[in-house]
Amino acid sequence: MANEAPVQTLLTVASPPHWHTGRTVTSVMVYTILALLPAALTAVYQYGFYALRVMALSCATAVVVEALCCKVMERESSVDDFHAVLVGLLLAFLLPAAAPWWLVMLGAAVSISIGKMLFGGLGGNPLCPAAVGWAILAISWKTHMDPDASVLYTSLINPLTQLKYMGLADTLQRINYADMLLGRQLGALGGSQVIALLAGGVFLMVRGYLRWYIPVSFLAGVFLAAACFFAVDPSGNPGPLFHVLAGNTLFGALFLAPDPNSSPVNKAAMICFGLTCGIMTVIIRVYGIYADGVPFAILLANLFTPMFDLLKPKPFGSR
Amino acid sequence: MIAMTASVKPVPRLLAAIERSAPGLTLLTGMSGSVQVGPDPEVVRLPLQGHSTKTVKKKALVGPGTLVAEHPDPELGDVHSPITGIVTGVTDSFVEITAREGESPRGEDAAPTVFYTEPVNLSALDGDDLRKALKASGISTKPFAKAATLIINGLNPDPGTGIAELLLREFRDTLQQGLLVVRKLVEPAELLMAVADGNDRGLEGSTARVVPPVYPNSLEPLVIKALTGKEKASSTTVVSVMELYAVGRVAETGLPLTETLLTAGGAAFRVKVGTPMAAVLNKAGLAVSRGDRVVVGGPMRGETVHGLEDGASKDDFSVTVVPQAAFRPLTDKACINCGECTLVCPARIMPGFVARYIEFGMFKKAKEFHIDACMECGLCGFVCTARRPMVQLIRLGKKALGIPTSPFAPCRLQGSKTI
Repeated sequence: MANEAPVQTLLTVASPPHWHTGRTVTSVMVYTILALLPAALTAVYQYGFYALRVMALSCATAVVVEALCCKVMERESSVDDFHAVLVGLLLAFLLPAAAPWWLVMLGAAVSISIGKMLFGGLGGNPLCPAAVGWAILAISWKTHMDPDASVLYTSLINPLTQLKYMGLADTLQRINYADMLLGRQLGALGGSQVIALLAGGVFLMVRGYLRWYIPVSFLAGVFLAAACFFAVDPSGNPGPLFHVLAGNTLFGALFLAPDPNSSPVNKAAMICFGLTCGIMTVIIRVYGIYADGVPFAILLANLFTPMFDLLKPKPFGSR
Repeated sequence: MIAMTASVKPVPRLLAAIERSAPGLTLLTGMSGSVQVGPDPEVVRLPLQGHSTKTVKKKALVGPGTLVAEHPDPELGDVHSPITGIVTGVTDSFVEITAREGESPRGEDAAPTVFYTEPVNLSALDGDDLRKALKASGISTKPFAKAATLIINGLNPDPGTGIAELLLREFRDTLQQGLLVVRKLVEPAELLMAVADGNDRGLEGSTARVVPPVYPNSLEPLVIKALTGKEKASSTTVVSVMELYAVGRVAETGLPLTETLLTAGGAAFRVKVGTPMAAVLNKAGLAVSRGDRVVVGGPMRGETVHGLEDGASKDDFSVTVVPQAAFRPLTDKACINCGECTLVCPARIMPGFVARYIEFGMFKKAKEFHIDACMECGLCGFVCTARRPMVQLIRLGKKALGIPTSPFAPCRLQGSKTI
């Protein structure tokens, strides 16, 4: 036990604290990727090899583009923190399973270069990188990004386009909430795997890698806004649960909106941010030309993050 | 304490990359057992903190209680030798004494010098005389400012040390004697005590209130808030049980304070001031290897010693060894704005923003973001995902802005021990 400590032992001299939780950027990324795996598996089950192809291509492109960007910027490569893999996977989850290869690669390249590296890399991005990539693709190649137009080998129904173009009665006849919860709805390949995403999100929260403030307030915002529309016109608008389960709502609430760089940090600010995302989602779905407005709602809320962060408590000693 | 030490053991690299190995922040250690006799050092190195008047020269013969150095500040305690020996080194930061039992200074003709320190009777003194007597006995009286409310902080100061639990369990009489003296100085109308244990009624004359024993609740401003409900406390003095014990020891013995109680590796030791860290760690059975941190004063707020030959100071209460593998180096990576620091900050500021402003030299902005409210509890650095040097940056900013650093640090007793 008591071994003679040599007096010359060189010690580390540092300022406090001398303990750390052990959490690192890499561990956060790895855990988030792990949390996305169940949804990735159900996506492959649902859409077959096509989904796997999109995810692999997107992740690989994101990593290569980040490495190239670091080279051009003459910086130490940052690909070893797995953030590029995560961004690639998040983008793939927003794409239809039948997306052509060039669309996937372009989206991943744009997410990393314009969404992240242009602002100086991880920590500098004012917007959620995957949502930036999705937005550019959705505006530029509308048909390719539309699962109804591109995924032709399936009998699944897209509840949101059904609602937009066929009316409420027809939609509710053809799809029920249980199907939507279990991911039996046509949509983005990962974004529509509702129950698997929910499992991943709960896993992250239990492990302490995801705070409840943004996801819960996001869903509350969707629920409240949808409930208002339903109360005003129950014959034209579906119930609030429909909007929570349809499309990318849960994916956005659990994985896109809580992106650390582009979301606020104070408790009250995070709750307002989440509510804004949720309410905007429903407003875009009801009035917008896009069937699913989740990434747009998040990008809009991202722009207001500095404003939200003004909602901060008074410091200790001023009360 | 045992569980604490176990949880900071090195973890395999791959596992460490994905697994959180967070030591808990509980302030309860469940430490049992009494105080063990500390090491008997051959050489002591008495740390000085601004004690500019040295009263001994090299080669002087000193004995237990001999005054070695004085502090110019009348409220900061002087330094005395704990052992009989010869002064072998005097610098601005320490006085070194090598033990030499019963030897006379001038060869064999002269009779061996007998050291005798006249005990002081603190109970007979009050006011300025009492303050002077305490200073001359090695006690700083700065923390005992006159106030309407006196609060005794009975919580362990940092996670991983059971010093307050130990003092309240084993040395209640000494604490009580210390309290008598401190009350004479503070003259409070109200005496409150923060206790961790609901069964503890508090020291005699005090009203005990339970404060949840979780760090950072042991910080002075938070104790004041928990007991009085006020954040801007006027006329409130907080004393820790360690401070009470030190005063109580002088009251009991009448002799200058030349020892301290400290916890190390789950046990407690009575250690002579100036005992080298190497001897303390050896006694506690703690192994140290190259690159480890030896922390005095708790893992959240304590300071690292520079070498194992550094001596224990009067206000040290714990020694912790943090293995190199348990604390991977800090990085200069950018803040990822995860907000963990904001959520844990007891001062309700945004440490991430403050640290970023300081990083880029924007000190005025840091002030706008209330850097002055920072209590330096270290929680922002503890939770930082990007492993940024949070406390270093905040201290740098405070220094640039002329805000005193570490106002509530446990080593405050020495007054000038700031970065």
